[in-house]
Amino acid sequence: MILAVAFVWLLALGAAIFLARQDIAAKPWLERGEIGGYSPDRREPAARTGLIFVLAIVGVLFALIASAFVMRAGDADWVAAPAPRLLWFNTGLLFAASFLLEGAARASAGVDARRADALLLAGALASGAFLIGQIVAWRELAGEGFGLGSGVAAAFFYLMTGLHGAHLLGGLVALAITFARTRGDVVSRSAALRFKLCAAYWHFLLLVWLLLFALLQGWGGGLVALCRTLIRA
Amino acid sequence: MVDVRAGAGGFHPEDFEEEEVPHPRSWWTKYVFSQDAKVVALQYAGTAVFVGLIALVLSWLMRLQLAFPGAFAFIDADHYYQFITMHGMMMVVYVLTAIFLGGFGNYLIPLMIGARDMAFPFINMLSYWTYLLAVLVLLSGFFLPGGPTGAGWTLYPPQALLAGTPGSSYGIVVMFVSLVIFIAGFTMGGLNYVVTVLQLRAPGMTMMRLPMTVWGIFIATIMALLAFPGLLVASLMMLCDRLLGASFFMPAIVQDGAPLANAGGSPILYQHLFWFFGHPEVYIVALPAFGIVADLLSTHARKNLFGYRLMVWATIAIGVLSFMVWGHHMFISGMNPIFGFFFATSTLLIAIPTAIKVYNWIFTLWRGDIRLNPPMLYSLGFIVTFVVGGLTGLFLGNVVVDVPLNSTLFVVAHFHMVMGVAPILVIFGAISHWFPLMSGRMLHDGLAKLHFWITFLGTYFIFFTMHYLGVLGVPRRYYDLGQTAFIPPSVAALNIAITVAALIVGAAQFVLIYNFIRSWRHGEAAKPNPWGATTLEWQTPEMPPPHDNWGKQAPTVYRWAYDYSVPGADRDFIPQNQPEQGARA
Ligand code: HEM
Ligand SMILES: [Cu+2]
Repeated sequence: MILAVAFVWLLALGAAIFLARQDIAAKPWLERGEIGGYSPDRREPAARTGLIFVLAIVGVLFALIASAFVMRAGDADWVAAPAPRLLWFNTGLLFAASFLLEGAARASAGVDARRADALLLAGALASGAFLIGQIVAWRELAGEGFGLGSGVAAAFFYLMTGLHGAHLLGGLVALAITFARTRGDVVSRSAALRFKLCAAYWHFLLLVWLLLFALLQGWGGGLVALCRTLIRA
Repeated sequence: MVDVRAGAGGFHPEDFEEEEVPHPRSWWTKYVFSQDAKVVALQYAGTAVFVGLIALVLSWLMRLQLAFPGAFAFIDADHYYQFITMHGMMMVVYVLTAIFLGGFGNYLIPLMIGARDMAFPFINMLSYWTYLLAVLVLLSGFFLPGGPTGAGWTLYPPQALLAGTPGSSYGIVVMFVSLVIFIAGFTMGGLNYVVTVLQLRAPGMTMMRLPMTVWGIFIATIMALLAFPGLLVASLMMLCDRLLGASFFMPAIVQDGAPLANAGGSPILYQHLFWFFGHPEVYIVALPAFGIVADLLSTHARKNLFGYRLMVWATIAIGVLSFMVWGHHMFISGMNPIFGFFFATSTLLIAIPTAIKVYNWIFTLWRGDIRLNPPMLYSLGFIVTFVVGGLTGLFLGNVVVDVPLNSTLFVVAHFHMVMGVAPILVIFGAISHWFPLMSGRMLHDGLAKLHFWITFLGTYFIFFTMHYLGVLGVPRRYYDLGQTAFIPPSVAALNIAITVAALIVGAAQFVLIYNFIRSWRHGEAAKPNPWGATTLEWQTPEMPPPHDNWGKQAPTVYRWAYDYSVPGADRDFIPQNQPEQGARA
């Protein structure tokens, strides 16, 4: 649970920075009249703020799973499941998707709608390929006798990859909506923002995947050992 | 109960070309699949009240068994455990969380901050329908073979999944599936509340001018958004264990001489994940109640809120700290003493902001012009109940005292006072306070006071005396005490008295429901801003407010939410949207 607590502290830090900018030391009972500087702005920052919270929530979710993994890894009965080689290739695909979407966002900001649409489609395809690759990796692992019921490590493998895949799938739905709403839209600021938010979500999922990947490869050993000494000490 | 006419007030599309509030086109989109936060709010609240009534009936059945053991043939031990479990889970998650955040959050946030609607109205609507689905899935457990789960509301593995626990075949699956759906639905709504508070406040409405109600709901929502993933992960892992043969939580177990398929799971892991959610959940329910009470007290005592700034800081501090304390539910699970120390200290720390709040409420009343109308009565009832519950919490927080009291009715009495009765009194207070806004009419005063006194004195009798049973050592979660040497016969007599009180209190809730429905139709018409409140929701052009809340002109905010009895002002309150010039005679 140390990872989860650390993540929550991180969020608290972010919140503290935000609050510090909100002037929470103000004495509102003395300050009547108009206060300059704040006026509401509808849709667009709302979508951005919304995404920040989505990322925080998804972050807590995976921090909790990672915490659970670390707590269990290295128990006497822990039989590590082999990470299929295919994962390396899949990781490459996800990197590519992230790059392509970033390109799409930049093209959209640079008012090149066609290029943006093409890059968006390419990014979606790469993501789809990643998901298919993950399923192939599942089958490979199950074929080697590491099914869901075979042990805790294998179960974690399926849970982590599955949840990550589900979030990517949700992202693809958002991507489809973005594509439908903004096709050929070169003028509006909102199109560029939508692209940018999609790309940000992809970068975040890439980051999450890299951390999960490291854990699944067993590279988290040092961290596991550290946490265990802390708990058992 | 889902009376949705609140959105029915005059709706003039021509009034607001510049705004993009979606126009309802038919009866269906206006009242059923409505994207108006006020309608969504009433849908949420109505559904939650319905679930609450079921949970109330379950508590009656449990009380009947405790008072007259074995007298009702259909309440056998299995059923008793199913009632306990469903009662607890429904009350905590499906009633209180839903009504405070989904109900009051939806109704009050846009109005109180001067917005026309939520940031993402469609997602908001989806949130309610997902919640309804979760409720239906939960209730389906009553009709499946084996019935709902009887594992206790904490649903601890391994026993929750083992044959022998009632509902371990279908009930437990349905329970976790319902929780997953609930969390998905809540997350959609929660994102809305948070983003709306951050982005759609009226000009001049700085964060430090928000009423405490909004602060409470805002922080509670953030906490819920971050805490529910713990329950989500736990639920998914449990479902994997139960349905797919995984062993996240299930250790190797020999049942009836044969080993089960599971091996290698860690039940303690579940406890960590559950309480990562479970402890913040207490404050997810409490913070909105705290916020609402602060506003009711200030309005009905005609005094500014004492220590507003400190209240805000305390709310934030509680929000952060409550993620650091979940381990205090697991002291006996064998953890590193360093962690034990960490959790015990952080738990004690939380008492500080909570105490600050209690003092500030009381100082707000000090020398106020207190009006003993129903909202004030409920709020005072809340303070008394919360303080008593908090004091008994001191007993339980003390490890030496906790050892004999743990798992007795003392604990049940304690948590019902702090997180059962206290927040529910606030809900009643909030209903009586905002009823004129929702309906344009006043609640019947006499009936409301009758309901208050029966509920307050009745619950006090139930749970105050229950402490005494706990001190005598009567255990909790027991279907039947049987022949137990250390329990004196007087316990049976007191149990009967408590049950009679519980039945009366339960029946009294129908007084409120009757009052609600009657007043909605025939109540005395309310004049605009009947309480003389400063906050924006009472300054709408019409009451109940139209779909876009503000008609032509959305408000601008010039002052904080607590300008009551300002010296020199011509009235004893100055609304938040009143500029400085107009305030003085
Ligand atoms: C007049 C109203 C209520 C009555 C008469 C009542 C009665 C009971 C009874 C008899 C039990 C079982 C005690 C035992 O045998 O161990 C119980 C458990 C419980 N109640 Fe209530 N209750 C009421 C309202 C509430 C409310 C408003 C909440 C919301 C927080 C709540 C939450 C719980 C919880 C969490 C449990 C524990 C379930 C478990 O042990 O798994 N109750 N209640
Ligand atoms: Cu706790």
